Amino acid sequence: MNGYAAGANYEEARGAESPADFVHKVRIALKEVRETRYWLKLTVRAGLVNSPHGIAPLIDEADQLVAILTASANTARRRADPSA
Amino acid sequence: MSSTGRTKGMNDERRAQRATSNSNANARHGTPTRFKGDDIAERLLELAAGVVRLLPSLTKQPGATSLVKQLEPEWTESSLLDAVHGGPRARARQSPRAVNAVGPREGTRSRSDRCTLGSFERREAHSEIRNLTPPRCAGLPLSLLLPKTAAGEGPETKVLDATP
Repeated sequence: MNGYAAGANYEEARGAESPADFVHKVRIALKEVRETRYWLKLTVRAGLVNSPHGIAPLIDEADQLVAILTASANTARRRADPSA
Repeated sequence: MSSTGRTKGMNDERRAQRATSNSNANARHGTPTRFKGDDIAERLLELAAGVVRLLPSLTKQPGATSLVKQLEPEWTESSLLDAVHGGPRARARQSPRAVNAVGPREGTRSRSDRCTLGSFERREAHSEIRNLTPPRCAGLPLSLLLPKTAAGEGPETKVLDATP
């Protein structure tokens, strides 16, 4: 995991070779964002930063990106396989 | 190919067509071409930038080293060895033109010498780098991470001095 793998994985998803590949890679990006959000929350909880207010917007942004990527993956999955 | 099997080539072709058709309009209005997913990519990039900006303050905190490794694991042993020996990651990041423009650093081996490093030297470099934490490695010039030279002198001593 790292803080910037999510963006890299999303870029890979945008160049996906098929809708299934797109869904797979968006889900990987989603997992990366979730993991980043976890570590950010941990830094706040463990008191490793002097001003937690600086991290709060990042956690909020990660929350929103989790929701966006989840919706994106679900929509793409439905379009790729309507029977699913 | 099935109806759901859009290829990457087709995707890129469509983007290229849209970019071409929009180029005249953009020239008139001065607006950059936006594609589907650009906004999400931009936000992910901004999140990553926020994490990167956060790292320096975390490295000052005692006990946060493992956390920094999780947030930024790029400075691992293998990537450092790649950087020193011109491994696949380093080659991928640095184009031949860039290498030629910078030229060889003082005290470093030439590209052909790097390719002929023996297994003993590689092990030695590996053990040196293992003793350094990632943030400390990031601050050191690359030449300090090179293995000992044949004459027994070289950057190894400096690396050990830098380690508390």
